[in-house]
Amino acid sequence: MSENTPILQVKNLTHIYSAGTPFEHKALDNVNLTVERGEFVALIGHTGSGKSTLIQHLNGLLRPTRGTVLFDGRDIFESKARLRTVRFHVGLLFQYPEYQLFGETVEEDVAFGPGNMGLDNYEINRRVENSLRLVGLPSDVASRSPFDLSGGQKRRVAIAGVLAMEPDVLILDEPTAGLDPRAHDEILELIRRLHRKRGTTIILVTHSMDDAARMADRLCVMKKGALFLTGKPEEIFQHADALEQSGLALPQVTQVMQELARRGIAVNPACYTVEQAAQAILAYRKGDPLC
Amino acid sequence: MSEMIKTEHLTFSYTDTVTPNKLSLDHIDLTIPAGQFVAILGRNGSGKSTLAKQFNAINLPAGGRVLVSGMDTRDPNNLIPIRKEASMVFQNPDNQIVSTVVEEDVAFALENLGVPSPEIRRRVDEALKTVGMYDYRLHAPHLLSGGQKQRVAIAGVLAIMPRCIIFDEPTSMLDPQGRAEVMEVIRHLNKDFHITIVLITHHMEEAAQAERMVVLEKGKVVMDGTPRELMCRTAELSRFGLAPPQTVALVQEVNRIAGVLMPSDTLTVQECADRLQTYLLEGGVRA
Repeated sequence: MSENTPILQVKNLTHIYSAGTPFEHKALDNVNLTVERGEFVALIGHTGSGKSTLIQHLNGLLRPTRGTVLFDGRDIFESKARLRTVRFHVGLLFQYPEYQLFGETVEEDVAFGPGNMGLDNYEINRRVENSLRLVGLPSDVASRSPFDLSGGQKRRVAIAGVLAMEPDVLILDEPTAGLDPRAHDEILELIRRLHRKRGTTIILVTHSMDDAARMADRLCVMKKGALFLTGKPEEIFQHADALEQSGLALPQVTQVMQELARRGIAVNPACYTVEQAAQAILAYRKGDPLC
Repeated sequence: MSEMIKTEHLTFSYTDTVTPNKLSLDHIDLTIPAGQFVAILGRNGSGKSTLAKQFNAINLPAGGRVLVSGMDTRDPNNLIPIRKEASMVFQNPDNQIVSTVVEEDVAFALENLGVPSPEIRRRVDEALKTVGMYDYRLHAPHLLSGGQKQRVAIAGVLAIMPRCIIFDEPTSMLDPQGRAEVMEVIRHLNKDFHITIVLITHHMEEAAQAERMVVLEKGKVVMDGTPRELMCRTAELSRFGLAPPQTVALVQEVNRIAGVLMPSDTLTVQECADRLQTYLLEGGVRA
């Protein structure tokens, strides 16, 4: 496929859980989404907005009730072989992925994915070593049991397991949930590095407007099974009220700027980092309200 | 004020083949008065959860001792009274819900404790009303949102009528709305029912709502004071893997760039806006 074909396209995707039963529930309602090669997209939304249902379609864990999902311009459900290939190209990291670790050693756990791909031992070893290095785990960890490691380290092992498959697209569902602020920043930095160095297309699912805005080129906000807003962070933050109504918490700095704006101080209420907000405040003080 | 929890030279270590001499808790002396709302912070592995498990005798001291309302946790006869006095709410609500109906779940511990039926009914209803889940009493827990499930779990603990509740990262699996709901309930329990609260958390904005914060590092208490005193000590916090709330960071950033010295103990959005408003409107620099 040509370089210009979007890596993922979701067309008129509807998903209904338990169709035809009293528990019928429409989780996705005619969603259209295009992700370009090398893009960094953040998918945000309140619990139950359809984020997880959507991402499970992207590597074929769920089948659409209606609509199609294209990887590299081709339907991922075209054939069984096609679906299997797509799963190697689109890596999905679930929430709390460390619960899925099972290997006796870290090495064995990370090697599981590439092993399934039918790679030879040399290639598997290369990938295991690379992935562990990439997630910043010391090499002596490889022979240890993953269950002896700290929470943050286990999370890294789980991420290494997905990276070892060298996917073109990496989808991460709340990768920093339950981590302390330092480990949280380290995992985000790791994702950023992957995106920059390997050119991996990233889809980050998060509740945190803060992380989404800092990391992604584009934000997609979901609400009640539909794509509600999409755009660059600074565009999305112009709709602060709508975001709050859809159950998302604005970063504290954004809330401070909005509060100042409400009090008649005309600072830009769409600032979403401490640095931006500080600049906006100083600019206002100097009499230049445009920043 | 009476002492709810007191630790004296408390030490503890897990069986660990890699670093056998590592103390998970290293001589901790901590007194938590009855009715206090204290947040315990620290990076992953600093000993927070390990310490919390000493507070209701899930783990027992290797050295030193822990007193819960004066009862020594090492004495097996104290176990049940201690658990009634100090109960725990865990991170994942799914791991602590046992029944298929909300009110049955809340009644579970009371049935085990042999509380008479009419009393169970009364306490379950009270507890569910307190956490705002009374209308859901006949619902199935697995169909509730995370925040709702966590509130049911809290109701289950409340029904035992403990004087102290220990929360081990109760919001880390919840979305922003669920987090706000749970924090609201926690504040309500402390303020209106004078229940002692020990809140283990990674969220600085949550810790900012406590009366006192204690920071652990490598099993030792390294900071202990009010959030207002400690939250603006950015360099120190950062050494222990923590970052101040954005409301503090913003004032500090303006201070740094503009070379001014506003106090940065702004713990809430309102306080931060107040301080910046004063800064922006004073001096009449604006045309």
